[in-house]
Amino acid sequence: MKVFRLQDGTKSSLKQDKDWFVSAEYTTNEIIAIPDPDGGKGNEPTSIPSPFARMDLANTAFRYVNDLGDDAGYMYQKIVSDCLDIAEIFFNFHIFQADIKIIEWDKTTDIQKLLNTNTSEHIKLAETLKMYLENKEDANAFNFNQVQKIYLIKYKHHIIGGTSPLTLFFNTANDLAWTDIIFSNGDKAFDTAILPLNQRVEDFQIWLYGMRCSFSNFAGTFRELSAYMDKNLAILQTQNNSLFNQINNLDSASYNHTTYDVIGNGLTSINGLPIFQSRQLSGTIPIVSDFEIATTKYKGLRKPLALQHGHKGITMNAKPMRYFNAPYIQTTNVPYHDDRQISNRTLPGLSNVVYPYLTVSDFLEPYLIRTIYPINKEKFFDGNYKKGSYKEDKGFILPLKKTFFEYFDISDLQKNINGRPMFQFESLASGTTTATLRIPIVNGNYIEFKREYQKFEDDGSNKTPDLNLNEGVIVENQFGLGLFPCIRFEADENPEYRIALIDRDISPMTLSNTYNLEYYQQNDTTRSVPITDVKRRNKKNAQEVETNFYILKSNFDFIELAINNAYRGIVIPIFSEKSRTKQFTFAVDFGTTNTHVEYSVDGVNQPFNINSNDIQIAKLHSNDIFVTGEIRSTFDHDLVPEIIEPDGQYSFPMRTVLSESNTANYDLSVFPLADVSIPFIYERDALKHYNTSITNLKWSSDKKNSKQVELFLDNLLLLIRNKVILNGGKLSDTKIVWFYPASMLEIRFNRFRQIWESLFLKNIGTNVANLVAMSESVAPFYYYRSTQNATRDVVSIDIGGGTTDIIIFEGTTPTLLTSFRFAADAIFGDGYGSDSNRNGFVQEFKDEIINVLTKNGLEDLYKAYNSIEPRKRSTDIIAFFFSLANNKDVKNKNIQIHFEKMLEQCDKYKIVFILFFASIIYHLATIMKAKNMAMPRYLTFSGTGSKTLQILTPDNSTLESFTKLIFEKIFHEKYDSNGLTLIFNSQNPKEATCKGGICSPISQSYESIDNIKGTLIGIDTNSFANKNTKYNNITSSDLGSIVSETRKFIEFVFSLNEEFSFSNKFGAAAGNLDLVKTLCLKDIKKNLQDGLDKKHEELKQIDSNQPIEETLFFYPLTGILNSLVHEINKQK
Amino acid sequence: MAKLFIFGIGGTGSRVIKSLSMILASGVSLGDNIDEIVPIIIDVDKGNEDLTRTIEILKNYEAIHSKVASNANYKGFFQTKQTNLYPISGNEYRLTIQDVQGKTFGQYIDYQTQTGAQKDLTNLLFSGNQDDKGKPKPLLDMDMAIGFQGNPKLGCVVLNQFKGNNDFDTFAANFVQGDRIFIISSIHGGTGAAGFPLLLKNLRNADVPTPNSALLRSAIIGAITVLPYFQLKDGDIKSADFISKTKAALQYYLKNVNPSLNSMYYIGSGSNTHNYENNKGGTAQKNDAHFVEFAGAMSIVDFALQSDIMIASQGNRFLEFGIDDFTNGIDFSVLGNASNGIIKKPLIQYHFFKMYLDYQLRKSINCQPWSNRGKVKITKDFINPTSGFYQILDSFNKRFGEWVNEMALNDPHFTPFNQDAHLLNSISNNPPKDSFMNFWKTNYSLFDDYLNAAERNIGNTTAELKFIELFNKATSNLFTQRYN
Repeated sequence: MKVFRLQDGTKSSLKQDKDWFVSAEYTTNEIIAIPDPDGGKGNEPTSIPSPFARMDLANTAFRYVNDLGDDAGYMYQKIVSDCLDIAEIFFNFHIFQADIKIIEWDKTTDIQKLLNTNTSEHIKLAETLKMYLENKEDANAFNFNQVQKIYLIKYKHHIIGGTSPLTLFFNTANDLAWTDIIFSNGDKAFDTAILPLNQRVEDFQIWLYGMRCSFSNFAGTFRELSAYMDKNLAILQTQNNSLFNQINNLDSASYNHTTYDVIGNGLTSINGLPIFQSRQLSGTIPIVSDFEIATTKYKGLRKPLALQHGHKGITMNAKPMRYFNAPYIQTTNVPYHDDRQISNRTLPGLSNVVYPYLTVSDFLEPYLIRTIYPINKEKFFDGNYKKGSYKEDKGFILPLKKTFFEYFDISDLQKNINGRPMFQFESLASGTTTATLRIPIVNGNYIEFKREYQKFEDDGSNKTPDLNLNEGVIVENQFGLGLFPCIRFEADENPEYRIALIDRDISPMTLSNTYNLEYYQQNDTTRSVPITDVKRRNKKNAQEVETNFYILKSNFDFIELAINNAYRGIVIPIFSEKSRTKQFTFAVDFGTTNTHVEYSVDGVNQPFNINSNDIQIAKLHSNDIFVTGEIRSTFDHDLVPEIIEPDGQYSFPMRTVLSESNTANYDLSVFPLADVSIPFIYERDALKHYNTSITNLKWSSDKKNSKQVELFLDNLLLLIRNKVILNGGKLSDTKIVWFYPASMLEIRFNRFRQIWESLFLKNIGTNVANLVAMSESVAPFYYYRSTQNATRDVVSIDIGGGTTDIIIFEGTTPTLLTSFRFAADAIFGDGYGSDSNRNGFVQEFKDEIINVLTKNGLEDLYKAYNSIEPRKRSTDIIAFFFSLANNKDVKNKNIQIHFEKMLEQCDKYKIVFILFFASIIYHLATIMKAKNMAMPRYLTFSGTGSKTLQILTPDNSTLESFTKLIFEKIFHEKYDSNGLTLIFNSQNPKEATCKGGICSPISQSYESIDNIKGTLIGIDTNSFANKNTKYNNITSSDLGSIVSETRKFIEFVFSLNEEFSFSNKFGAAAGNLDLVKTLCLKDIKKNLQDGLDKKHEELKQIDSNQPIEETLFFYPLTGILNSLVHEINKQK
Repeated sequence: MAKLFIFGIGGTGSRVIKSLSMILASGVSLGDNIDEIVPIIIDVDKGNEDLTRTIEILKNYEAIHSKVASNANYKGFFQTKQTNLYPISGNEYRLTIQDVQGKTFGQYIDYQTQTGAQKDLTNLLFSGNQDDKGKPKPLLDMDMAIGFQGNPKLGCVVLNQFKGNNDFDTFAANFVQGDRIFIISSIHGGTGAAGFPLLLKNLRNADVPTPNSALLRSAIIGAITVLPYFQLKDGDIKSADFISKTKAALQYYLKNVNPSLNSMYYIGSGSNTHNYENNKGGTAQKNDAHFVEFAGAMSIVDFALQSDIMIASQGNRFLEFGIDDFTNGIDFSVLGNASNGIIKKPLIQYHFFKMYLDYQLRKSINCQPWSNRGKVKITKDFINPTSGFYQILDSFNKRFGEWVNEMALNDPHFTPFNQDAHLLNSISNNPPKDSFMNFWKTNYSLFDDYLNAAERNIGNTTAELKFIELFNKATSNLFTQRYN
């Protein structure tokens, strides 16, 4: 039998018969049974005779796929897939809304509009549409009677589909291969691949099943779609059970606007069934991605994904990784950079999925700044640099962007991730350097952000980075950077930083380079830490470096370095963070010539030092290799040396001197360690030409003096506070002892005290009780009492550069204190208004000393001399001469320039030292006799000036005998058998004051010192000054008396030679004593007058009507000694 | 007595009507229910050669019928009355579809001036492309002068002109109680596939001012939907799509068409079909006649033969057509009894008639008694004029011959007649019963004997009727005596 039908007779349930016979309607089963020789690979069937054929076709496609599954023709599967794509676009409306437009077509109003056009063509179309919409069969078949509106969707101005009352959504017949819509699982809409519902984004599936639950007659209305959903749900049961359960737990309330957003003003399908869209991503909607950055620091709503170009999409354990709600597709083209703001980014490989992600360029800079030295790993994070086979010793600034710190901390950066460093540099032999940043992502994995920086070309070829290809470029810049101090300050410690930037980009290619530093705390990279000020001490030129000093008063975590606002990098100091427990005491002896600082901690006293364990200046460059001189030296010159220690290159006591930048402007703010600094290199090297040294700080009458003193002390206190913190000291418990000379006027003392207090508050702490003021005279007593057994009846004589302080203890009670401006400077200085050209010592020894320096190649010292000499201040020059004995460079050369010994061996000047020493003892003895005191048992000597005693004679007993002789002559009585003991600290007499202060850090008020102060006016042997003895009241008769007293003293001294041969005992030249005596007696009055004039000059700064603060006895002698030295020198 | 309005939509409609004309020409009776057919062709493709041939055949049929069937009791060749509703020359039998010539679909619906959501909807509903010489061409740009090229969704818009269409109203006005409607269309094409459901909707939803709208709404309507039975050679219309289109359309019919029909005839052929030249339309579209079209025409006969009562009692009837298995070709031996009962005798008669006209008429005319005898003689004058009855008959018979030959050569071959055999042996698989008795006579001598015998029974009538009646009777006797 042969029936003329398309179905295979054997496979059809249809009847077999002959002729025209009554068979059965071709219902779905019979239709499906029609074999399709082409497998549905052809074009989409277009034979549905309805204008709404496209909707019907979609429905047919669902039916075929439902019934035949994979055996359904490709064309049908494709229509189903495309309709689901349309649905998914509605679901993701907000993601694509920039490109899509939804148009509402209303079956009543729009048809009426068409009819209203009165165009016959339009009317015919309208009538046809109307007929199909209203005709009973079609209306039922298409559910037209249940829907009022059809929503059409346009993508990039082209219609791609719409809503359908049959299948919810349907697609256009036009080819949509041109579209570029990619869903969050990487599926490209409308592509040739078929993606069934069960393999689509889970949220989308939940949405669709939720919609079904919410609409009671869904299955009856969208019959084929619903059947399709059932089939897919069944697949989920075995393939994605969790989703299966989730869908089965949906109820009629799962699909509403608490979970979803409306689209526009709200779209509805059949019978008001709303078509919602997915909720716009917010922090509350988690996405599941294995690429999510693992950070607890990030504060943004959504943690970005870290995406690496070329990532394989598998973990280290070769497990596939989820990208964005779906597996990562290896071909996803992750760019190396994305210009958009992170929050505006759309995920690569997907369309318009606005979700933050990070790529290599977010964390790594396009340029890599190479330093001309290796990084000092002790003080700065060097990025775990591996030199590899690269032969040069270089270093690199971390090419990190500060964005990094929005996600991670510095501590993270220095850690390992899965056994590998988070950050790493490695150079190849060619110099090409790779920076690798390993970003932790969830589940313990990491992503590698890697950038290769091409080698630096010396030829200046303008290589530029290509971010599209991830090609970075190395730039080499010559600069130094120093951080002072490398400490993180605690809450009660006012942070005080200096950052020195030394710009040595002075080649023609780089001369125009500009540097900028910004400081950040890692918890807020949006705002840089305020910079108090930036001081440029020197501007660069083709020969010279530029030095800039940043002053910061806030803690910070890292520095962003920018060159020309184009090359950037991050500098991360390794801050010291010791716990603060120890108690430190410091004593600061701010002397005329030298300053000494002594400190005590854990019961040990020692001079202030900075050793390798508590370096205060952290230099970016490693000391392992030679770094170009300008960079190296600037730190020592303008900030502070790394090491200061006894017998070191730099040590305390040191010269009292301030280095002041020529750019310092006292009308504006001036900062220590920026505009000015303590030049530890002084007397060791010439100061930089842009610096000027200020000596004579203590007694200068310069207008700027007070400020300079403050800056000097501030600088010292900065060193002190850093010392404390770096050694675990508690700043608030720290005691500072400072000293003042008894000869200081109260008004000057108060000014000093104010300076000290303000500096203490600023640098140390609020408890001013820890700031101890002591008399320079008293302190040494405490020291010798504890170390030399000089416990009673002691006279302590502190001979400094400018003043000599004497305190007399009767028993253990200090009963009289006197102080006068007659000290080492009286010997070595320039008298009244003279200079080094007339200074005998300078003229006597300078050639010899210079000769030794130059012969031995001590160029720095020679330069230092040449920088000091032109100012013709003999005290400075002589101080330089003295300093050479302890200079490390000199010692290292194994040569001796021992100025003290040179003086000691030069007999013609001995008489000067005799006169100096004798005058002090004579004055002391006269006072004690006038006060009816007993002759002292002990004389202790301290102060730099006491070194002159060593010049006089190295033999202590000789000096004791000579001293005894003077006392016995004045007192007209003999010492008993106990005699007189002279106590020195020959090695470092300066330290006695400080050590004494530390032994007994008890404040002595100016008043308590003033009360025992006794000043023998100098007009006779028993008149002491009182409050009314004012400088203005000195009469010419008084002057005459002083001159005669001086004359009396000179006679007295020379008379001693008869009993105590100066030549025998002291080795003084014998031949010229008469001449010397004659010279001494000359010009006494003139010298006295000069001395008084100088005093008045000083007082002008304060108030000239002051009570006299010192004896006038020494005024002539200062001039006499200066002239004497000059004359002796002339007589060679 | 009632009329059967036969709508032939598109190319398939024309071809089935052609087959029907041949069957009716052979004298097949449509029974007691129908005594008049009214063919109405709906085709926008004016230049279609199938259409042109069919119109010619219909005109000739009607001309012949009018000469021979003036008597209502006439039985025989061309007995069924056929009416042309549309007498305007050049548009005979055709319901005119307006505004399609030289227009694209877009122009037809004036897409350009549409605005807003409507324009977008139009865009979506009529999305897609049509292959145009290897290049895709948007449907909206499609030229409709040659039909809808497999896009019934366009067709249903363009063809929706019945309401208010004069030609349609003429049809409706002629429709009276008892009349029936039959619709022929193919399912996979453009015009037929679109026009059929649309026509059906217009009939079932007919309303004033359409004349007799109530009658139309309740009319007995039958239809044949011709499923694919041939494959086109590679060309514009992808034959690969036929099946898909068919299935989609069948599905649509399920809800939208079938419920509105009284009888639905399905026919198609799944395999072993001949590749047709692929022409979209126009003069080039001339498809060889096919057995399926013949069977399709038979469905109309079947429909006509069903009584109103039977149709009413059976509800929606769905019919298919079957024959016995065959190997080389189809002939009467494999047709079912019912079919043979309707068709075998008339078709063989007409076959003999035509054979005689082709091979013997000029030899016997003026010689044989049937020509010379009686009051009305059939002489050479009857057949010689350049115009006149015989020429019309001759033209018709040429088409009949073509039709037979084409079906024989088509796949499957329909070869009821063996053209190479002698007259009496030319019925395939059906030799004459008693051939030995007349072995001395040539075939045509015997035929002449039958004609001469028949002549005696023909009364006083016209030459045309006498001529046809001679053959009616002679062939009837020949068949009855020697083949039945």
